[in-house]
Amino acid sequence: MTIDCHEVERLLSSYYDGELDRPSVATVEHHLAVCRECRSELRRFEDLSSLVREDDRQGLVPPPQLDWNTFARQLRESKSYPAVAPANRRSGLLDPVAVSPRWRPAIIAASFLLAVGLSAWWSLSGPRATPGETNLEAFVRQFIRDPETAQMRLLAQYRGEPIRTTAVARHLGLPIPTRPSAGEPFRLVSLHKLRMPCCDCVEAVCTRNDGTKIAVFGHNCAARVRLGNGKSQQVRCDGKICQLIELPESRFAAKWQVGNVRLLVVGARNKAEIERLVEWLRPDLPSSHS
Amino acid sequence: MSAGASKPIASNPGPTRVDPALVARCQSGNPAAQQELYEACMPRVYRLATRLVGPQDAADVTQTIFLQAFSRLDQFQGAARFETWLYRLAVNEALQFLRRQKRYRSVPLETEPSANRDRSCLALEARELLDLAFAQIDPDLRAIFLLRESEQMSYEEIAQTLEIPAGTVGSRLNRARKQLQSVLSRLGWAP
Repeated sequence: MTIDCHEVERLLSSYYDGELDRPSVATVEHHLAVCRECRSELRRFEDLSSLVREDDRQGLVPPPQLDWNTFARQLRESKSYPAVAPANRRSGLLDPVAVSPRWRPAIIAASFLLAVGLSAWWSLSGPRATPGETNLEAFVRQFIRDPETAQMRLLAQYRGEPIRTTAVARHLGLPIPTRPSAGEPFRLVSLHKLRMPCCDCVEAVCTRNDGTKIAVFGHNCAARVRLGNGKSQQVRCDGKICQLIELPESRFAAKWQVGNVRLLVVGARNKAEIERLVEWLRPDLPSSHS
Repeated sequence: MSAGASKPIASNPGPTRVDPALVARCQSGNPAAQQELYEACMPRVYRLATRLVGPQDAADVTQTIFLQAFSRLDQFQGAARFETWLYRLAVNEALQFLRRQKRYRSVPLETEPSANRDRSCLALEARELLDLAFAQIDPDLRAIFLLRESEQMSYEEIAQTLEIPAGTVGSRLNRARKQLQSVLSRLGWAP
């Protein structure tokens, strides 16, 4: 059987990679013996493979960031709490904002079974580990450059669950404005509960009017959150004492306290913006005023 | 067509195989096994990530891939080889990253056409050439090309990894190779 260049071209990768059956190999080789153009094409495949092999031979040394010890620390942090909260705590999965109504009955049933199992496990596994500090250095560095990827990794690391704004009020006693209105400096785009080593934290990602992002964390504990080695100073923002930390690329983080809640903002541009955030996040619940 | 019926023209020793018993020990929470698995697979995943998303973001993407892999390890049932499962996760993560970054074809051609360049300009390192070329071809084709040429997977393994019909692997590889050749020759590559 003879075939033309067009047909050989279609089969050439399979032939080159040794994935053709014997009759097809014979047919292709018969054509190659008489067609210089197709032989040239095949040679170009070989040249391409040589180029990749040459690059492979040069080797690629993974950066220290990928050492096992560094990675294992992240892995431990992401696994320091059980995957699902005990039975007496409401799961964010049940939150209507996160789940389509048609899945809710199934999720409720599955959650009940999980809760029963976990309650038994919980009672046998002893007390939770002493809450430790949370290291957000890598998140902070990446968030400034690439907020979407940083956010996705944060959610993977701390098993983020979407929650509603009402849950934030319940969890932190702190309402976060959600409806954009004229003159509003920020708009809420996502809200998650994160199981951090220090505590279950609420994280909000907000956009500025120009579409760029900042992240706001609310903690219910006094454990330390590491942000890096940037210079730190205390400033007064909208009447609040804030700790201002310099981040790479002329960005800032800021920490302040509202009642028992410790708020942390990552990615602010300047002190004026932090003042706007402090004002924006000022609670209107009397019980949560500091 | 059936796989393996003729002698391959390209050298194909195949990728390193991960021992299923090692994966099972990881699934039971053995930290030493987790380290062994990570150190066995990470360099290749990092290399794949470097070529898929570029050197600047490869380490972050690799970390994310392994965080996801370890957190989902209990979902690995052993029906396919572990590497297939891991590479599927890696390719999906890298392609999602690229979509988020909107970096498809984002690297401009910074070199002149080959006709205007002398031989000294062709001394670009293989890595530099490939980085430039990979950045300019369709990421899905980039992935299929790398799984074949660099990870030396069979068509069946590629199909499982990318969740595509096995019969389409050859034609996609044809397109990938043609696109790469075209870009490389515009970059002045003259083997």
